[in-house]
Amino acid sequence: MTTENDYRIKALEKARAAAFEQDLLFKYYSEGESQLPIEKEEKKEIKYLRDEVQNEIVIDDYSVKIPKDSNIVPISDVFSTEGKEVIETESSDKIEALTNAFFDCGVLIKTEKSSEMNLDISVQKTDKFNKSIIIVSEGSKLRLLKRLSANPSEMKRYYENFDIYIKRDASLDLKMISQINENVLMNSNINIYNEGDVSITNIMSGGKLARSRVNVFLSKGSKLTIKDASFHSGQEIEDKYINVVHRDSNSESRIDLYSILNKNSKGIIKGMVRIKPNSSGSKTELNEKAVIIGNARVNLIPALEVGTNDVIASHSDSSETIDKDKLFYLESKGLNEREAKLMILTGFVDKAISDEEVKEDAVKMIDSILA
Amino acid sequence: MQATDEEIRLRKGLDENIVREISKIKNEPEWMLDFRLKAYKYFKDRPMPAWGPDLSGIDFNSLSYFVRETSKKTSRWEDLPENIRQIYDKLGIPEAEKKFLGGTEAMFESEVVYNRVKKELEDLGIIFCDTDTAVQKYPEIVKQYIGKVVSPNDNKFAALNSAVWSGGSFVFVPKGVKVPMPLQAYFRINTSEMGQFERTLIIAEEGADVEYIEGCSAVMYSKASLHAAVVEVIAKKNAHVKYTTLQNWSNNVYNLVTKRSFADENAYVEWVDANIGSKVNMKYPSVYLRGENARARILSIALANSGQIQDAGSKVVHMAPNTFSTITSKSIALNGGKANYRGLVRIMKGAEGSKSTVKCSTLLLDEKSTGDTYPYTENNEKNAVTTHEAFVGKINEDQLFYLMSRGLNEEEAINTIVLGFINEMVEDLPMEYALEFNRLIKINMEGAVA
Amino acid sequence: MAEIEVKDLTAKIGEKEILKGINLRIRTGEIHLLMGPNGSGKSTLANVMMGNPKYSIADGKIVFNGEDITNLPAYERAKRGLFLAFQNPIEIEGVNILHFLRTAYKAEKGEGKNVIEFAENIANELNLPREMLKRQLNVNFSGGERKKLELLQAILLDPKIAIFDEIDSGLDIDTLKTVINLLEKIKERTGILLITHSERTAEEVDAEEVHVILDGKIVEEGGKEIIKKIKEKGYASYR
Repeated sequence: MTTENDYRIKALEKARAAAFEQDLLFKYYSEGESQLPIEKEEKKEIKYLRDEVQNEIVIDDYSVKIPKDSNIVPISDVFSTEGKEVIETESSDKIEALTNAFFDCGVLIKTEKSSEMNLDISVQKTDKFNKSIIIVSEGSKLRLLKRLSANPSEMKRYYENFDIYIKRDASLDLKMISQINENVLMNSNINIYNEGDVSITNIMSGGKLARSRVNVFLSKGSKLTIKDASFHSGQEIEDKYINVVHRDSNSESRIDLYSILNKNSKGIIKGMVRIKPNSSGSKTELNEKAVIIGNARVNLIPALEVGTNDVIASHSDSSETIDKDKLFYLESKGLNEREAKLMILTGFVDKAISDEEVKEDAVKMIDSILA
Repeated sequence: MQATDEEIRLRKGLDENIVREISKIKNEPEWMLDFRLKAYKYFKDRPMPAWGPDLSGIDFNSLSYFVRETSKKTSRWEDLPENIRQIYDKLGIPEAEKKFLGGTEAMFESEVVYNRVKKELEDLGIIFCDTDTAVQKYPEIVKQYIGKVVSPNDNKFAALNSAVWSGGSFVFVPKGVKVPMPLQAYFRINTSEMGQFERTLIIAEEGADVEYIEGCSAVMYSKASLHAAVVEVIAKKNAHVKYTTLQNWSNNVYNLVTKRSFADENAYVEWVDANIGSKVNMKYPSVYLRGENARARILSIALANSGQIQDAGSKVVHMAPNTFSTITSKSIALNGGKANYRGLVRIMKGAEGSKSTVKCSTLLLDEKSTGDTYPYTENNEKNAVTTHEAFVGKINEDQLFYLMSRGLNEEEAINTIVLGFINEMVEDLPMEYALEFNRLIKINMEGAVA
Repeated sequence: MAEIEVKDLTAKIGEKEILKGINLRIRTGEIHLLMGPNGSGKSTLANVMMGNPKYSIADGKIVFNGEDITNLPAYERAKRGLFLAFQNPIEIEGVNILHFLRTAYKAEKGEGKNVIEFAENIANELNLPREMLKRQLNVNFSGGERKKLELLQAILLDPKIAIFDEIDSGLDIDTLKTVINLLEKIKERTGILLITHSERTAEEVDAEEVHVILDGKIVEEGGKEIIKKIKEKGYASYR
């Protein structure tokens, strides 16, 4: 068994050795290296996770009221309960490794085989290194809603790592709603090892620098759906990278990345889909759509590597501003400019975010970036 | 490799002395020697590209950077040396001549030996000659434009070309003149370990209109050959330039080309690119839309057979309002070939009202063939629209069955679908090229059905 | 005198059985109607008879003029005189229609005819503008236009046995009448299997036999009185 200490030390070594932007393809399309306090963090010392409280598990700022012998425990437990294949990950992003070295909060969620579980968790404080692992056991279903909202007066950095394992015949419905302050520096790294079905709905807004990495590895017959929308204004910068690897036959992925960028914000949206040679019968579709208003800028890079021919692979990207004809039409029906824009942008996002639970928050985010 | 009376071949490898020697043999003015020497420094300092296909097979030291076959420049078919005429016979040039396709310029080894410009062109004030001649006869024009569209420091292979270039076409079309027929060029590499470094410069003055076509064919060798050409096109206000290339180098050739164009106000530039041959082909024709209402159209077709990597694409920079670009890329990979697309669309702030549309399709005919697509879009102007879509996959089975139900066997059905797939390109070519192109595709496709 | 016979045909797509022991025989000079609700296997039967590799034959065979063609690829069946007018003819970009028609004609009949002239005449009869023949195969064609092009091919290629998979859908009344007239004209040379789920079309056609298919099986065969029965009671009466 890997001890937690060994793990952290190794992770810090990895972090120090890693280049910031690993993929040469995106060398000139990368943000964060200058904004994140990397040098300072690489020099820190390893710390440990604090103890949990009795009947009610309050893991730092994850406030979840559930019985103690349930399937959600502090992250440190993973070193005693789970095997190496859960703890060690394939990716080697610098910030991901830093988070693995210094994590001071997080949960391990593991479902019972063939069970169904519903969970809402929320993270309220930044200035944390969150490491969490989610295991959706064979035949089980997990519905997880995660909210991240950062108190504006708190310190300004938040890193999170999520390693998610979906076993055969299992399914995960993951919804993430992240509203952070415009001064927060955030790095989110999600690794997903999918043997079943995964559906992710993700909306985010804010961040002086919001950097996200999502790596999904698809096994035989597995399915992935990602519906993702970002909203930014002011001087915010987002660097989003979704990497999907079809490792085996008959795997499917459908990824929609939508962004609305206002004022002086900037979005770099990178989608890499790799279909390995033994993935015949696989399908993939990736769409990156951006609406830019004000002085905002966007970089869209939907990359595709196809290693065998018996596949259906496509991608698309588009960028434009709010349609003037649509604006005029709505204004001529009595809506003022702000209301009309909100309606049009809500309609735009609807194609990606149709989930009712998440839509409401999305509309609020759009409204606030129009301010 | 005997040294005949008419043949000059410099020793292998590249250093400053070779560059000086090349300039001396050509009897070039000081400013051109300067240009070459500066470029050679850039070449030494620049690293190989960090991205793209594997170029480690290029051994710069084993290449000969200058070969001249004959010192005469002829202007009549009958005056060409016998062995050269035989080669051109095989390429079918006499037929082309008969059809009066216009000024024909052929390049043998690194130098132009066959040059014939029709009186019509001369009367209109159109200059069409090889670039070496242009340096001698029209130095002011060459000096004004060479290296301005593709700077010698742009990339390692542009630097190499700028240092050792030889041959290539020089076209100058005066204001308001429409060139009455497509101008053509033929290329040929005929020895192994030889680099080919054509430098082509096309200047279309205000309101000028010119179409240029180059199609090549090459012989098989045992060692790798390097072709690093540079093409610079300037389309001034209201001008139109269409540049068509049918590339069919033998598959031991590394074909690394830098092709770029400036388009001024209301100008229209078209790059039509067919890439059938070579071992590794890296070519990204680009257009900088500098003036308002400028337009670009790039059509790229690539066929990657066994052992080939076609890494083709495009680059468009929208720098002014109301500029438009349309990019279409169609690739086919078979027998384990690899067909990639690499493209960049950059819309700069202020390019209001601009629009860019990119469509890429890649057909992988068997399970060993592969294709990667890397499109980069940078939009810095909210009042500009960009769209891009790409598809990669095998031939649609329903289409196959439909054709087979009409009596076509599998090979015939695949050929029909593939030719239909690249039909857009074929429609764009003059007739003889279209026929040759279809024939080339069919030959390459033989044995495609596993 | 040509004949196609389907004997105890069972066909699957993947693991799913769609046709379960079909028996059918069509000869030159005959029009057979095949009717059934959506999903009953009508199109599947048409495709399997033509040799669509998507389906696998689990049992039974198809005999064409005494020859077992069960394992022959589609183009071999086409060359022997079998034709299928598709329900949803597919688009193939960049393929010029006239060129395609000439190629198909040459493949199935050999040289000889002035295909272009012939095709243009048929197009006229079908009210299909001649200009359409210069376009790309089915690209941006409406449903009705695609059906007309299928019918044009049927007449041009003069097959021994022709299967029409819902040629009536997407056509207006007048065109439908023209089509039915044409079918009756060609039946002297061509045996026809007409697939439809419209009773009205079925009534108009002078058919020799009517076959009803349900869940992959032929549940009734007989004369045109069956059509009336379906009109009144629907297909539920067969369950």
